Amino acid sequence: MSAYAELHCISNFTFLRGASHPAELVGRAAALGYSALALTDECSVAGIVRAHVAARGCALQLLIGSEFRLADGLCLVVLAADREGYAALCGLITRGRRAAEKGSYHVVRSDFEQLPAGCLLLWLPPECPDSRDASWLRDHFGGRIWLAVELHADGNEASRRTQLVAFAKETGIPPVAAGAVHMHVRGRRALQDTLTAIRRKAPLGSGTTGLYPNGERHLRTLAELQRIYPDPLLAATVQIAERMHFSLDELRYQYPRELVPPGHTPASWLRYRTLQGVRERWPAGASPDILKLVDRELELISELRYEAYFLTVDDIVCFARSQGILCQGRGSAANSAVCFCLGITEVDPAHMSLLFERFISRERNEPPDIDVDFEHERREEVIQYIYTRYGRDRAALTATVITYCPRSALRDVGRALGLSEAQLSRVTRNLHWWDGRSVAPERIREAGFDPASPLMHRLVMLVGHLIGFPRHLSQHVGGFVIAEEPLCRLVPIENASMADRTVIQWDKDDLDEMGLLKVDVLALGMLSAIRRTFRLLRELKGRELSLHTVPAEDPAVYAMISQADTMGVFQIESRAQMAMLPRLKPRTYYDLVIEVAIIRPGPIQGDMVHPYLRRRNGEEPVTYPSPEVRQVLERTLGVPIFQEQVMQLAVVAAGFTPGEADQLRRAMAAWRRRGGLGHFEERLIAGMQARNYSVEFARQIFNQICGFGEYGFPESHAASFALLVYVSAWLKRHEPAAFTCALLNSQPMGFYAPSQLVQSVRCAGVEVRPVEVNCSAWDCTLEARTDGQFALRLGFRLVSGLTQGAGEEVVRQRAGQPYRTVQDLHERAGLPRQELGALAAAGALAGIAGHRHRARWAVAGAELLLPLLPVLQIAEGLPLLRAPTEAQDIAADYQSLGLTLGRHPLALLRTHLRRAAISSASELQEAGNGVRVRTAGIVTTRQRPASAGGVTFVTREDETGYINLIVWRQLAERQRRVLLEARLLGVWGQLQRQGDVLHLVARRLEDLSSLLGQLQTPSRDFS
Amino acid sequence: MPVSSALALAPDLVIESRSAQLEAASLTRLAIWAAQFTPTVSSSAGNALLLEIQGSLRLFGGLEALQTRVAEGLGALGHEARIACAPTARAALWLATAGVHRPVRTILELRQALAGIHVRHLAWPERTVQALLQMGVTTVGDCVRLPREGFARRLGPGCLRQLDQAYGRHPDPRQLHVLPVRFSAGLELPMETTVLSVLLDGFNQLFQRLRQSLEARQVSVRSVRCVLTHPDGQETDLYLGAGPAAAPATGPTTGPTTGMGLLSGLLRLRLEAMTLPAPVTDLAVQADLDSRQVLAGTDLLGKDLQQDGGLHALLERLRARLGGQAVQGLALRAEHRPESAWRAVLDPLAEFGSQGGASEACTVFRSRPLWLLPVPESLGLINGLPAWHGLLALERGPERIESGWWDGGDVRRDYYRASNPQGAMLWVYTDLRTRAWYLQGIFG
Repeated sequence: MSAYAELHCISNFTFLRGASHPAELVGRAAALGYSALALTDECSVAGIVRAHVAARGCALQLLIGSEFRLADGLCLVVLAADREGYAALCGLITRGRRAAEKGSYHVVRSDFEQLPAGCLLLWLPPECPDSRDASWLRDHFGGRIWLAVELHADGNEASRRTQLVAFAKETGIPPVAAGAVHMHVRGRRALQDTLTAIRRKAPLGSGTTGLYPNGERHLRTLAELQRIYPDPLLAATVQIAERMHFSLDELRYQYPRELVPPGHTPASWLRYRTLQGVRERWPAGASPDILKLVDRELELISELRYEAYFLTVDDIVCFARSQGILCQGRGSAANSAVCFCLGITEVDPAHMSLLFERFISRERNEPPDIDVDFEHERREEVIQYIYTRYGRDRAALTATVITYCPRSALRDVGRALGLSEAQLSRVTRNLHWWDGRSVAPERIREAGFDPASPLMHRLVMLVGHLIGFPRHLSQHVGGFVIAEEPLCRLVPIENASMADRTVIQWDKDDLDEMGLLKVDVLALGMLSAIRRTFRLLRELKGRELSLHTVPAEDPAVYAMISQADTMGVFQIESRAQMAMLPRLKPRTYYDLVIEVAIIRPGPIQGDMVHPYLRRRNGEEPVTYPSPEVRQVLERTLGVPIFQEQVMQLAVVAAGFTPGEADQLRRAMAAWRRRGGLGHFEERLIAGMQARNYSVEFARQIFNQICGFGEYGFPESHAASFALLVYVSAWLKRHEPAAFTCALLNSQPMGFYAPSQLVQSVRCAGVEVRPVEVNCSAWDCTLEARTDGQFALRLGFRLVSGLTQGAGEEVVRQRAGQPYRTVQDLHERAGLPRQELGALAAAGALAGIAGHRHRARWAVAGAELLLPLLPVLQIAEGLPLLRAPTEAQDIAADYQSLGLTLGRHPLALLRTHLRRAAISSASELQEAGNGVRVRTAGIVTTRQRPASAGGVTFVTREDETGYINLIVWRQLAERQRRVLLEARLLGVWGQLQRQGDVLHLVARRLEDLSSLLGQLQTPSRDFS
Repeated sequence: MPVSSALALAPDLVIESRSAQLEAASLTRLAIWAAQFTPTVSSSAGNALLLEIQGSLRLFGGLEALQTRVAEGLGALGHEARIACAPTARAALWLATAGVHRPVRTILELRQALAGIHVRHLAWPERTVQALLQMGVTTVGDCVRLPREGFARRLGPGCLRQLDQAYGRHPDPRQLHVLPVRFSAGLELPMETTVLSVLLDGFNQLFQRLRQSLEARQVSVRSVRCVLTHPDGQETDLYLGAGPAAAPATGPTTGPTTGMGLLSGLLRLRLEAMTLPAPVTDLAVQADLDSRQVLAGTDLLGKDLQQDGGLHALLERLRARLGGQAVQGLALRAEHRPESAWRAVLDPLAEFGSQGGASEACTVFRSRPLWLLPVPESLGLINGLPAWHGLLALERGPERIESGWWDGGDVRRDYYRASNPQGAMLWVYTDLRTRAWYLQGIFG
């Protein structure tokens, strides 16, 4: 039987055409005994790394290429035979993609004429090939161009074959067999038709054009191919494949060189910069321990040749610092003494008993990983700096592959199957934000369809296939790849949807596989808030603070944290964290590191939280199965909490090499999406048994690894986050007014809305003053009080419907002379009436116009006078306007500002609620465990963490405090609509008390929203 | 609320689209009906009728009796009405919208009644209503308490004028309903007859009068009703043109000059095709004049300006003779299954060239027979090979067709062009699932 190499095959990275994943194609081609498979996605190599990974360990040779339709209609496949050919292919794709809008490309013949000898070409001839095209191709690509003969049982195979072979003879372009493969098996035919219908935006059965008549475009068996193609055509495929010598493993990456000044090597320059830092950090001289640590780290960095990487990050951080942009590094290499000296992190290695080698290891051959968080509002400056410094051909953002989720898959497949828009919204609306990755038949039934009907059966089947298919490339939040040579020799670059942004065609995992280094330039709202707080303190109190000068290990701060009084504090403000704090009672910085990492889906699903708590509280002995394990787990009392510990366990207890442990880490990150932990399970358990660990312990560790999945949190990130936790907690404890002011000015961020932040700061005894046209600025501000304290003045930024320009104009024109009337405001600030209305709605005109109704009347009557006319006082009778009621004012406050400084709305309803035997939050505090109560509260957050097994957590507030509600899956499904739509949620439930932590387990829900009338109460929903 | 949200709340909801046109037509009908109570009828806001009834009170036995009659009459017509009565038209309108049924007779009562009406019921622009509510002004009473100039300056003089109209301080002229025009003409035959030519002559006279009438008003008609009255008073109706069912017109509207000949021709065809149940004594022609339809004219020399009129006339004539459903056209569809690759269309002219996929479909058809069997015929086997009047020789193929899964009619077939010993060229296939053979078409 002849051998065969498929030279024309597209995957689902040719969006809406290919109907199989790259790995499926590779797997199938290998199973069928193909000698090679070329992945030739249309003007793209986005799927090539996945194929490369899948082809490792297969006998199959993976070829890299791409299919192009030129502007004049000519269709070609370009294959990369060597490194130069690959670079040229990437360059060609880059040119084509950059010349067109995102998602399309534009290439012309002249783009191809320069392709080097390392590019082999296949011509995909039209029905009647033109000999002029043939001569152009032969002239430019003689000896490396073939005529693809692609036969798909269209009834004219024999004549087509004869025609093309004759044409090939006539033109001197040799013929070769090819398959135009769109799917790995014939069974994807329905999906392929569906993709066509989606692409053409025409439902199937409506005369959709472009459908293939049959499912022949799959990887056919060698026997079938032999029946269709004469032997010489098949043999040609293998001959071509034999000319291809390129593999992605050849790609070598070089760091940019300009970071090192002349006369220095990267190593000497890094040493110089680091020692500079040592002098700054320890002006009195560093301890010998520190110097030894720095030396050892530099040695390790040199050995692994990572100097340029550290210098790259150093350069970016230096820029940020020069611009006064607060930043903080995290990641495997960030918490080193070197990074501390370079100012990349503020985590003092002296405070940590951690060793750098835990983060960056000699044996693991794992690239260092430094993510740098910047103030969220100023990150763009950093990004533009990187583009300017290295140029757009050497720096680009990583791609994120956007894949089909259940909602988008349902919508697209539904449309292709001819469902009406109304039916579609019925199905997709019921999906709501918290459904998992598949579509449950119950959702279909709930939407009023019969899941057993053939149409729905087809829908669910196709949606199941489509979920996880790549849909388009988007930009990663901040992963930059920077290289010495033009990037487009490594990987194609294309336009992102944002103007002035370009992305490469590979995502984060692809880069990991290829060993390309990326620097994550991320945005963090908390850094903006902290920097703002520092500035307020400097301006108002003359107190200079920075991340590392905030007094360390302050017991008052830990006391506040242990009481879960952490609203607004970085990371530990979420409901789950708040529930944990009183149990964990952090006392030191390292406790915060654990706190940050332990409330994650990984440790929760791996069931590590309770064992850790029991051991910490002395309720369970701290034991270790062996001294090696003790070494790994001692700092977390024998319970693996960090991702690094799991990998170390695999090494010390199961005998993994560091390299294998790293593979395990990657597999952990992806198994939920792609599966494939199976052989690790066997290896791990066998390895641990061989080292005399019990099967139970081995299985427990494996389950923990599965639970960790992609959610395992590395200690290296937790360590950096913990510093921000501590700093923000310190600011909240000691400078609540300034901190809240900064938080409000950094919105949107964090877990809570301004309303909760303001309530919280008022509880802390800070006076909060309303938005007022003669006092407020655009941002919230602090106003000195006579008693030396500061009051928080709400700013115009909270007023909905007021633009920043208008708000700032009000401030500018006010300078020195307060507004006297609305007419005065209108004339001087020149605000359009709509913006005046926004101020009136916010109650900000109370000082000059009286209550809201009068303010509205005044605004409606304000007129800009023509400058040439004499000032004409319009004499008007005073209007008879009723003052708004308290309830009306509160509703108006919420509508305009999202918060009120008046009474809580439920305070107004309390008499009514009490009559209905509804208890308040404070009354619950007095009630005992297990008591059945009826409560009501305004929903502030809903959360359904993936780790919680279908439990929904709802936070509700009333005028006395918060009630945390637990809604089990069954109840949530039964009362789904009430749960999702009620703004005022009434609950019959049972109290659950664990120490200081109080939860209400819901038994029945009721929607009391009608009691709120017009009140707008937004809930923040998280999944 | 968007439809999707409504559906999410009530999945069984039946959704009907609202037609302003039908509503307006309906209101017009009611206005005509209401003319029995008073000559001064006007409509307002698309959903209200205003009847000036002072002069009719005595005739109908007082206000209450009149109100009852109007309510019952509307009920019988299938409409639900909110009725209010006030000294001014504007006030009556507002009271009806607000649902105040108690009749208001005096100016004093009027003030009280108006004061309580919520500003939402005044049909003022949403922006105005919002502005008022934001000032805490919720009722008409609140409005009139405000300073007049201030009110006009903020909310516009229009609102102030409407307030004045409601209180009777400002005139409120309204446009009265005008009854529509309908053409109707009859002719008494000199003697009972069934003779076609006599009937046609009579109708032609009537058509000429119709033509004059149309020309005078510069309007056209979409359909014409021809009535033949028999001695016993029974009538035979013939609808010409678009027909009484208000089906979308297939051809151009019948204009006066081009149309009369056509009408006459069509009528002849219809009369020829039917047997009259009895002799005829009277003829009549009725038509609703359609002033929205711009008249298709002729040029100075009387040449027909509508070039394709002939083809339409042919179709209309064929339909008149054979029945509407008997005349159909063929069109191609972009489909791979042969049995689904064509379809019948009612109006081949309208469809022609409008089907985007037709040209692509055309290319598929080169190797297919024009004559397809209504249902593929199962073929017998001779020694395992397909036969139809003798063993078949497969000459070309296979053409593999795998398609149609989306409507439950998935096929997987290999098609061949085959010939039998008689020399017939056949289009056969083997079902890839069952391996059975079928004949689907015959080449001409």
